[in-house]
Amino acid sequence: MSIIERALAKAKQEDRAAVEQAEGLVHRPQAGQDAQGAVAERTGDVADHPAVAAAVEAEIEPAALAPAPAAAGARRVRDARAAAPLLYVEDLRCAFDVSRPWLERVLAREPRRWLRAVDGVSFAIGRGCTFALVGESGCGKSTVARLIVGLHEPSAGRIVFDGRDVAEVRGSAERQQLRSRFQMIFQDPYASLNPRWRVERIIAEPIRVFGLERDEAAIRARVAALLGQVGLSPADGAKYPHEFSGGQRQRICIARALANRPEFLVCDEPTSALDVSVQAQILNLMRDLQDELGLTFLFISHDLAVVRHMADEVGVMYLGRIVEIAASRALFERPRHPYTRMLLAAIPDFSRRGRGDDAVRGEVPNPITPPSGCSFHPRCPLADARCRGEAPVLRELDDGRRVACHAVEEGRDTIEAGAEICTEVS
Amino acid sequence: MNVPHIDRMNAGGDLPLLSVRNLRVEFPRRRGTLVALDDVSFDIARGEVLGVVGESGAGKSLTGAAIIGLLEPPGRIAGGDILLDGEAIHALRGEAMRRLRGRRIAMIFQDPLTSLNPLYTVGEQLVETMLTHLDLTPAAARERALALLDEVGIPAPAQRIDHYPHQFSGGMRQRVVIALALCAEPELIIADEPTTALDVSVQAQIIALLRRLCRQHRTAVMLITHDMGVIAETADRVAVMYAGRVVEIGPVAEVVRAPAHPYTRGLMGAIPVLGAEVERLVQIDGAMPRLDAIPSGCAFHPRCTEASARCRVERPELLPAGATRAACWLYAPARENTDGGPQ
Ligand SMILES: Nc1ncnc2c1ncn2[C@@H]1O[C@H](COP(=O)(O)OP(=O)(O)O)[C@@H](O)[C@H]1O
Ligand SMILES: Nc1ncnc2c1ncn2[C@@H]1O[C@H](COP(=O)(O)OP(=O)(O)O)[C@@H](O)[C@H]1O
Ligand code: SF4
Ligand code: SF4
Ligand SMILES: [Mg+2]
Ligand SMILES: [Mg+2]
Repeated sequence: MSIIERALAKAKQEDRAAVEQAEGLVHRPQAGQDAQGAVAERTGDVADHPAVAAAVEAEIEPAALAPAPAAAGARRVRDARAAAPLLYVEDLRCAFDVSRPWLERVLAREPRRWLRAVDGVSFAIGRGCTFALVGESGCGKSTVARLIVGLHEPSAGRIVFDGRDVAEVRGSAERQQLRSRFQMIFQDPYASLNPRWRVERIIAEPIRVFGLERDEAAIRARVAALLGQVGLSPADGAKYPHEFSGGQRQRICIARALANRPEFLVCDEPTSALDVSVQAQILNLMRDLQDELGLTFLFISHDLAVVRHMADEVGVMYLGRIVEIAASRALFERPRHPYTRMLLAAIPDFSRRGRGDDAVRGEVPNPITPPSGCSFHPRCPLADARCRGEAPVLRELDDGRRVACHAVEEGRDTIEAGAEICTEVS
Repeated sequence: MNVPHIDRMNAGGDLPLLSVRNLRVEFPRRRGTLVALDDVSFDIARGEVLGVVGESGAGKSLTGAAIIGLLEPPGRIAGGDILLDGEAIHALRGEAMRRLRGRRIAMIFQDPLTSLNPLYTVGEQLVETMLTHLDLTPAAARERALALLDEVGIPAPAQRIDHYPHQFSGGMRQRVVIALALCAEPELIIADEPTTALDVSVQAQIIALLRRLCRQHRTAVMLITHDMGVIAETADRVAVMYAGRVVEIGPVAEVVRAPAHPYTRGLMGAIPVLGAEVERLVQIDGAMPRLDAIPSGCAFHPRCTEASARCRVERPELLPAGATRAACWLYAPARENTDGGPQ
């Protein structure tokens, strides 16, 4: 056999193994600890897994499904516990094939490579509530958003909207009807508006596509009402997107998203491209609209303070997984997962000057080759041998939150250790 | 106009390291000239961190570029003085400016790749910069480069020194850029949004590093950012810019605790903070004006809830306002303020 032939044969073999492995990863629960976790979730320990529980019991006994309880505060707090989920996702997975082109891969004797962008994510969002996903770039937030609105196909897992598994909605009419009930707002209000269309046409487009309104006069009236609702004037409808500032463009995007009276909005970093004074305008608008229209939000942001302001419940993501999920107030007042604590310690604070250099360490690793065991272990001050070998699964704590961390489970994360991470680690 | 009180705010009493006086930057166009910076004045003392904050388009980057002589034509300095240690540098051209740049004033940009040449290893770039500006042998320069990489927190510097920029992560690249900025021991570093492109956990590390190193080396820093939190944590004093002007300047603790200018107040209220639960954020309606539509009088007046008739016609200069200075008629001395101005 020539060298090339041997390389080819070996690569093919590795390829097959990689495909098998990847299929295992993406279509079945993973091997080892993860599988145990997933099996535990499936075989009855439903309290560990509200989303699963919700699937079974949503209609019957929503109060028992308890996403972490929301504490009362100065701001309006929706009782996420009482609200039946409008949407839940269960063990959602999405892997991207990031292999190099076939020939290059073969010559370099590389196996096929998969990037597990979303790796077993489950959460439920109560009707009228805001659930936030937070985490640093690349942790999989946008992929979750895109899976939910159907821009990506999940490799595994379920998305259930108002009691219907969206994958099982087959007929195109029904599918379109379902689609019109949720909408997405993107980060970049520049890229998501057609520059050659007048604003009124942009906003009317979804109304026409879904055929909710056929009479032109009625469409015009609806567009004018939408413009008013987002704080623009009806006369703005005659202008083109370039005539507006970034904040005004995001208002146009919101008006378009609301055109078909959706119940559910997926907002992917809706204010990350905006200045803070304009961000405040948009966040205020979104909360007003939520109150007025009873909207349910999946709100995605890398900015913890914005998430704190907007969300009732928060999921913290790291490398494709949720590591902590809790009521917003509980999460920010008493973060438990070491990554949540690190994120909080990293936020510049108006009062905490001269924080130690080492409160935050390391960088997010390459997601194609995530660390073994708990993928946070190279950066975690509490990591031990178990952490390096075994991936933790989400477990519910006394206060109803769920945390995926061995140290928390073993009680090794004392308050003192927590305080230390939050302020200064030497 | 001269602003005699500004120096009072310095950390030390001696001559400021950098003194910017009445700086004006223009962009000549066929149809009229755009004034991008107008009457900008501030000082930075040795070893001091001055934060420059404001929303996009306020003129922060242009201020930095004017100081280090990197204004892109047709942009030009149309008035004012920039003094480094008492010596006028705004009229320096060509070779004289290049010598100053890197040696006495270094620059850190948002994108680390702006400062790094992809074709050379980081070690080559550090050594090259040191040999240009310092009297060192190549061996000594490499020795120093190693020490610097270690100092900025690059793991295994002995290996990493021979790597190319693309072999580093974004955060590590910004560390290399900091090493590059520090390697000729400049007196002033202008850092323009140095952490804006980074994740929060990396941002925290870079900010802490910059603060620690500049303190150790007694390097003054002009830290440009739109992030008030970064300023609050890092700067000694802060200048708030709006529409090409400094609208408030003072010790950072005072500006954060009791902002005087209505724009600064609005800005602070608009920022969601972790500790506080508020139903609504403070909202400043409208947006930063474009250069070709800067409002008359106080440029902030169309967005200001406290604007009076005077604000629409007369432009306020920086006036003492509690512990800071603010360009706002609310702080005009009482006798000037009897003819219908705000109380
Ligand atoms: N279409 C794609 N093909 C390959 N990789 C992708 C694709 N989309 C996203 N990724 C990768 O998936 C991971 C998660 O991305 P994303 O969901 O955009 O994260 P976030 O929104 O949290 O920043 C990242 O590592 C990203 O590079
Ligand atoms: N080359 C240029 N020509 C015309 N206007 C410019 C040019 N460069 C910058 N500007 C304008 O100058 C103003 C200040 O810009 P800049 O200093 O970059 O703001 P900041 O850094 O505060 O966001 C902005 O309104 C910007 O549009
Ligand atoms: S499981 Fe171990 S490594 Fe992971 S976060 Fe918990 S303590 Fe740290
Ligand atoms: S000068 Fe007038 S318009 Fe300007 S900030 Fe002060 S009160 Fe407002
Ligand atoms: Mg994203
Ligand atoms: Mg700038």
